[in-house]
Amino acid sequence: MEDVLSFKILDQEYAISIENIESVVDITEITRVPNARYFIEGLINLRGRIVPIIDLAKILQIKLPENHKYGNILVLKINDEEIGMLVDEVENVLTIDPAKLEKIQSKKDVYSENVKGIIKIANRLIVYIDLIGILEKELQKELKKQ
Amino acid sequence: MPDMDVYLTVFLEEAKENIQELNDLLLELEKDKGNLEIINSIFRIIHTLKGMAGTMEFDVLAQVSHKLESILDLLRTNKIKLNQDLMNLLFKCADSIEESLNDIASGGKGETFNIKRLEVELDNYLVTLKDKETEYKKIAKTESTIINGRIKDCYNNINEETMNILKHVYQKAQEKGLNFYFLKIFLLENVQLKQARAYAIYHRLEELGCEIVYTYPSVEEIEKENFDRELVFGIVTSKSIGEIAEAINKIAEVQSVYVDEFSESLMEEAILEKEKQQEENIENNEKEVKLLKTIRVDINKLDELMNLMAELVIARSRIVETLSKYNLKEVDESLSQLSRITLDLQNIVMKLRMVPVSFVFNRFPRLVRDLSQELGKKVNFIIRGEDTELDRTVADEIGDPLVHLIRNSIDHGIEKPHERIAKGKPEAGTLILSARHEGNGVIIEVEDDGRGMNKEEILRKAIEKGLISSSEASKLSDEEIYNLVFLPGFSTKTVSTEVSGRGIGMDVVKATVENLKGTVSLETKKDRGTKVTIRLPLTLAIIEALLVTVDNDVYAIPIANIDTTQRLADGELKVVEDREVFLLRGEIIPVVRLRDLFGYGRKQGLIKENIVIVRIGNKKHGVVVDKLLGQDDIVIKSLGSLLSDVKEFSGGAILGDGRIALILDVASLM
Repeated sequence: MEDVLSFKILDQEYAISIENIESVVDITEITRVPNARYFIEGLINLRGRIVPIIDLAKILQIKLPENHKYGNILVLKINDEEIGMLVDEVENVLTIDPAKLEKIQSKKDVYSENVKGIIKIANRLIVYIDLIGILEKELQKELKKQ
Repeated sequence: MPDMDVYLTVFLEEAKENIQELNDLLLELEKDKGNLEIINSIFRIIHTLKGMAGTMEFDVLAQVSHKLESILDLLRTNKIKLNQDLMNLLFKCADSIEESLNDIASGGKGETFNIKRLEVELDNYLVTLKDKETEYKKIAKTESTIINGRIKDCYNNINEETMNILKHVYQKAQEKGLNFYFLKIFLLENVQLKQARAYAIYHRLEELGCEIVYTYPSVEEIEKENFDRELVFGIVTSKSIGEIAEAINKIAEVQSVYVDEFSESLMEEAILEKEKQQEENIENNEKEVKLLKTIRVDINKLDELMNLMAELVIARSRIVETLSKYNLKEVDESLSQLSRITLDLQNIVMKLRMVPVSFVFNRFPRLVRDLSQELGKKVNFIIRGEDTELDRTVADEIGDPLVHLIRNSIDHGIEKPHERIAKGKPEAGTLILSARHEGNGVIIEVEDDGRGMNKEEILRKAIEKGLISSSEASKLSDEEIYNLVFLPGFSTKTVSTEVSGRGIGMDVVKATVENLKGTVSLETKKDRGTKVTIRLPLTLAIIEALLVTVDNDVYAIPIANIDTTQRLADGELKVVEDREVFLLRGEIIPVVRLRDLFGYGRKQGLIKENIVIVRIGNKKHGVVVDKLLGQDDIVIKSLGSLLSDVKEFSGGAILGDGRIALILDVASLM
């Protein structure tokens, strides 16, 4: 069994493994970093520490309305580095059985590559994403370019 | 075993410190071979090491330390003399132990090939010594007179009360015309039934008509077998030394016996010495107490502390800002006090990260000694300013470049003695390693009085390696020629020696120093020597920077890179070859606009722009920004691996008002 945290971007629920989650903070001023990767929104000052902020919507190619404003930042700790992720709302912690994850054929590559499966609970359909895999892949892409 | 891991770190750190100290002491000892104090200190270090290695179950290391300890014990009790061979063996021990520690640090058991070989070597050494010793004892047995030095320690265990009694006995014996002897008897190693042997000796002495007036250990202790192999007796007898020695020698399992006439003066001496030793012990205890006042702190914890400091500074600014709206006179004083305290705190936290350069320099005397021996050169090595402090991170990185520079100086710079004499220079070369504070940084210099660099040879090499063309070569100034050695792929010696040609060259030195935000330069004169100067920032964590804005974003430019700043008047920028340039005192300087580089779009309204002239080496660039906010000390923070591809920034900093400023990496703009 695995524990995951679910959150919302627009109306869709997503979940990531709870292992990497450090805290949830309110949205705050983000400093843009020129010439950074496309999915990096910028930096925030998190209690005196500088933390980069990523936008999952950009990685998953989700179209956001132009005036969209995120409500929270999920602070993750990956390889001892803090990384913030923009989300609309944080839902709750769920215990799931990885064997019962459902894979669905997606039209988009971004989903089939980055999603561990779909969690079905009552009438909720939650996309369980492999965040570490996504970030590693993005870093690899950059390496190849160089 | 997480607990053991904790101890392992402590063990390694302490052991490494011990090895450093050992090396220092050995160097001192080499200069002053008879110095017992140094030998004692070395003994203590090895003893500590043995204990620690034993506890941590690094058996080979413990064994070697134990054997080394035995040799040192013989040295300090004057049983063997310190010659150059032994000196070299001791140095070898230090090296092998260090190697073994490195092995342990990288997860091994410290059982390196060298340390195992050393163990055998130490064994052999001890065996040869033992042979010599037994020979020595044989002589001692046949000759009835015994060297005083060897029996003096009989008196070591006599207290003052006993001494007075013995003095009295001595006088009585003399009055009666009897002899008062001290016997020191060694039983064989691994002797069985020690008590019985002791009794046999006792009995034999009585048979010879000797009156036993003193024993060590006491009779009770002997009965309990509370002794090792050594027995001391004081006897009054009419027999001669020779007769007594012979009789005792015949007893089975007695390895050796020393007999000497009782001497009041020796006894007094021994007691005095004992007192002195006690005093020393007290002193040592005091030293230990002093040492306990320092603690080890993980550098990450200091970083955390520094982060918290930064938060505190920001929180303070916010309070000041909020309260200033209400114009409350009463809080002014407490606020300024708060400011002062936070500033002090920040300084202390900064200082916590500082270590004296001796941290790095300490290992060099040994390096110089070994190198100069190896290369047959005489080098007078002088270290100056080892108390100068710099950031621990800088200190960690600067070691290797310095090793390279020192190697270079000894290998390429300083000539062989006969060569130097022929040039009219003193036979021994001088190599000076110095450190000092200058402005906001530290300067480290490596200076030798050797042959200097050869301009022609450098040029020839550079052309040969295709680093420059011969037409370019003729245009270069002297300084530019010497700076060619910093180019990658340059090495003046055709045949690389074991010493300097290890693949790292001056280009690596330069790269390392520049990575630390420092600079390196060199001066050289034929036959007068070479001086390499490294300038380093005091700390990597805090830099002075000029804060500038583009729209509402703040960027920081390190002051170290700034030549000058200027308000930009309309039409001051010219376009040459499709590039904007700026004329500064007749010099044409290429210009970048941060607005364009960072994709801000056109400037809004009528902002008067400013230009910051930045510089790396001799290259200058103009950076056009909106406003100049002023100068500030900023704490550099990493942007993390997700942003490591953005070469324009070397990091970020949190400003007093909580905003983030990106720090421009000036080199990336050029």
